[in-house]
Amino acid sequence: MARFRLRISPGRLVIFVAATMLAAAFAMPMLYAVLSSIKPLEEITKVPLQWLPESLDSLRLNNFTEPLARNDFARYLANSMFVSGAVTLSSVVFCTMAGYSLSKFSYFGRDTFFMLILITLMIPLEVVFIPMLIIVRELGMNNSYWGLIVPVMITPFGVFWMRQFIMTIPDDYAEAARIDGLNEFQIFWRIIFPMCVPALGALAIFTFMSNWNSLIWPLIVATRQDLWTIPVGLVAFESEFARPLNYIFAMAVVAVLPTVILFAFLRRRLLSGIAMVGIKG
Amino acid sequence: MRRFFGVRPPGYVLRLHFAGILFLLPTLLFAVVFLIGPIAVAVVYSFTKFSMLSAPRFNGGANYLAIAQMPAFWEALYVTGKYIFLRLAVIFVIAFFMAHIVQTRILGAGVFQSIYFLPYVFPLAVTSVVWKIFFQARGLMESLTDLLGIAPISWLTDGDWALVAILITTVWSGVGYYSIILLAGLQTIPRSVWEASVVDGLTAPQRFIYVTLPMLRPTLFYLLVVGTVNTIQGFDPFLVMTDGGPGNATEVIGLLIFKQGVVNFRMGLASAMSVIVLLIIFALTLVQHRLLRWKV
Amino acid sequence: MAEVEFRNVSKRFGRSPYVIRDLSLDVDHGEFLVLVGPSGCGKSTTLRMLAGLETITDGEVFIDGRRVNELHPRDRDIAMVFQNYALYPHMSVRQNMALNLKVRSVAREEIVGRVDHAARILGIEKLLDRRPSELSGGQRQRVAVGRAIVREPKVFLFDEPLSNLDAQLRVQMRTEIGALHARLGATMIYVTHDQVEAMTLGSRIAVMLDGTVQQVARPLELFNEPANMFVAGFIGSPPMNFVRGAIRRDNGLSFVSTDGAVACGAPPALDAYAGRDVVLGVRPEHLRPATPQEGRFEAALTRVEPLGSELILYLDAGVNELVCRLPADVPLGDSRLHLTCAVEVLRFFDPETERRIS
Repeated sequence: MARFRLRISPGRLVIFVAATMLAAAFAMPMLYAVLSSIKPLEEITKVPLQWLPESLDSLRLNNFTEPLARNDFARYLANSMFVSGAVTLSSVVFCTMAGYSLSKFSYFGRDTFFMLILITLMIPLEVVFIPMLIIVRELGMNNSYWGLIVPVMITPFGVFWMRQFIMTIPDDYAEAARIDGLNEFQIFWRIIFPMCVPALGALAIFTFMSNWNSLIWPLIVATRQDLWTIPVGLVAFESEFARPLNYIFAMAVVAVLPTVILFAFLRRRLLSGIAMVGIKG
Repeated sequence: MRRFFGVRPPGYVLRLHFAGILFLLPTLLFAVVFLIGPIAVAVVYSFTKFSMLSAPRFNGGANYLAIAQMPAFWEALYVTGKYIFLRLAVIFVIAFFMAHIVQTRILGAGVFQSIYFLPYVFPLAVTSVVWKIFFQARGLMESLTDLLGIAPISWLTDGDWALVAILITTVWSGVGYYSIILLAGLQTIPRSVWEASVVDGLTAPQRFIYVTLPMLRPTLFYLLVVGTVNTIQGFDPFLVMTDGGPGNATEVIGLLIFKQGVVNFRMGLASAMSVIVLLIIFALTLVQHRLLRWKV
Repeated sequence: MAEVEFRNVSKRFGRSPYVIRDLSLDVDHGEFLVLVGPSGCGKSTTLRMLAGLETITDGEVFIDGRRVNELHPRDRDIAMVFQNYALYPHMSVRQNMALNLKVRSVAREEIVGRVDHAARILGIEKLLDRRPSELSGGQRQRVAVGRAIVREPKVFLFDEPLSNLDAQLRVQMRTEIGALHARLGATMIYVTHDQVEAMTLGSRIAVMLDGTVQQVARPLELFNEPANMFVAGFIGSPPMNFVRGAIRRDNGLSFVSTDGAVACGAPPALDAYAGRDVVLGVRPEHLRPATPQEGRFEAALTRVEPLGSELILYLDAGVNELVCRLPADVPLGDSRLHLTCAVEVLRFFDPETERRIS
């Protein structure tokens, strides 16, 4: 992608035109939603459709401020931040610990446990959310931040990912540290963990994104409104008040902003992470 | 432990391996409760009648029997299968084209890639809410069909069109992700193989059929299984956009379980359905294993 | 007293065959012992057992008179330089070198002093604030050695420390390690598969094969008095020529190769082998051209490798191929050469046991 070959042939021209049309089709809904988020309601519902706000005066920034202040969206935003952040943090620490354990130590049952992780890798929470809810209720964690965080705080994928990465770190580092006099916890925390940063970065992005984006689990585990995350809040808002489209569009923009910013800054790492998972399985 | 060392190892080595187990301990506990737990609970509760309000009561295979005789369940499986097939078929075609664009490195390839991928980072629930508005009367889609001179389509309330509307939404949302993986697969094909096929006089379509597709087999299988699982679990748009309707034209299996369990409080029945879906996913994974002989 | 002692040490991984068999070895204080052998001979495993990175299946290991079988590596008072250096990538050179002292709660000023001292010895004072990724291969090598020096251990362990360097750097670092040993006078144990490193560095060399020590000796003794055919063939480049044949007693003892093409006199020590099969070993550098009269045997020249300062000749002598190493200025006349060598440099081996007959 770094170098473009400026060579014009009929075939390439056709591809270029098709690619542009496809990109326009893909970009149009995003553009429309973003533009609608700053328009007054009357302009959004106008027929025939118009793209740009009629005048600068009709720009509505209170599309954002109103629902954030009055309809608890600020709270949803904070909840989403807290839950996604906490899950990401714990996932990064525990998955690395487990990956280290599964790749650099030998003890009875290690490989069995790893096989188990591989099998659960294919089981999506969205299929077992009912029994999961039963367990979480039994533990008294429903309708609390614990219920939002704990059941997803470690992912089999994360363990698998970190194990594969730590396998590529030569044993020599831990051995050198052992001779150097570090205890096993220090070896992990001061040597192995910092060496995992490249893999941790990708894992952190994936984990944050998938938790920021998740709907079903937060929806069923938290019935109390003050625990709702942004997707839950937006879905509820839309089904409750179907008409304030300007607010819905504005809040949709707010909801996608964090992951879009992540993508903008970490595009290369994110894409290569996906590619790596795809190739290695 | 003796198995690993032959003789009893010195204390410091035992302590070292014990430390290794300690590192696994949090994950081990987590896995027992939140990974294995739900499966075990699903199996156990699938043989009970349970509404969360009263204690579960063993009712034998009544749930499974009820499911077998429940047209809605089989319909949901059918709709799910149809949806998965259509979604993956459309995605494969478009994703191939997207991967091709990036691979041929035409002007602006990086920008194109970013635009195609961007919808994937949006929360699917948010995407669904926004597209629901697009598909409603006097929404964005109606303006577009007007422009083309087509009569307004009642996207979300017409039994034939509702699934198409959701397909458009989820293809838009997910295709960029699949194109990245396809691209990665394409790039594992050595350049020399392409060049050899050119020297051998293969035309572009022939090259695609005889060289590209066979060499992409591992990637395609991976996409097939991951795509299936992702598609089963991503039922947010169904919940948000149609709630299974009109009628139950778009009631997919995930949504059916959700409704039975969370809305109707028929937890035992929902658990039994989960078990069946788990078995299906398990079988799919097994098939994938056999076909690819995954190396860990 | 021996600084390091292996007493009847054996090692196997799980139920697999033994990789080390009944190994006994003494290393004296201040000695530079090199463990050398082909890959898979168990030399690295031996070193790792001493470090405590592998358990000892059988036997005992002593460091400074103390049995260390059950000791954690950190309590064995050793330092190790790894093949890939194992420098912690997220720490500066200074942090890398200081880590051990820090976790042992050595006083801050002393840490700084010892790190600076080690850096001066190795000439890496200017690199102390850099990260390993900003260093060249040779510099990383020095830091790895520096990390060992600051600990002032009883024993330095080196596990193929030069094999990741290019040929030129390897020679340079080899010299530096030798100089370091001379300067510190510490006990060092060094594992390598490269016989040149072994010969140039070791005050003694232990040649290993298949988990057993074949011979422990000073470098020249190893070269001149190899204990068996493996050592004779492993030490020296090009390797020693071996010719199968038998000892005859006509007028005096003589050796005649199986095909009769090579014949020469044999020392009286081989009297007991008269009429029996033996293997003759002669080093390439001991063969020299001669006139037909004084030549011991005749061979056809098949190939010449000119190396600048010397020539390597490949010769056909009946069924045996011989290699001969000559100064570059020796004139080569014909494609058939007459060769000779002193009787004293000939080595004879028992074909059954492969041991040298002395």
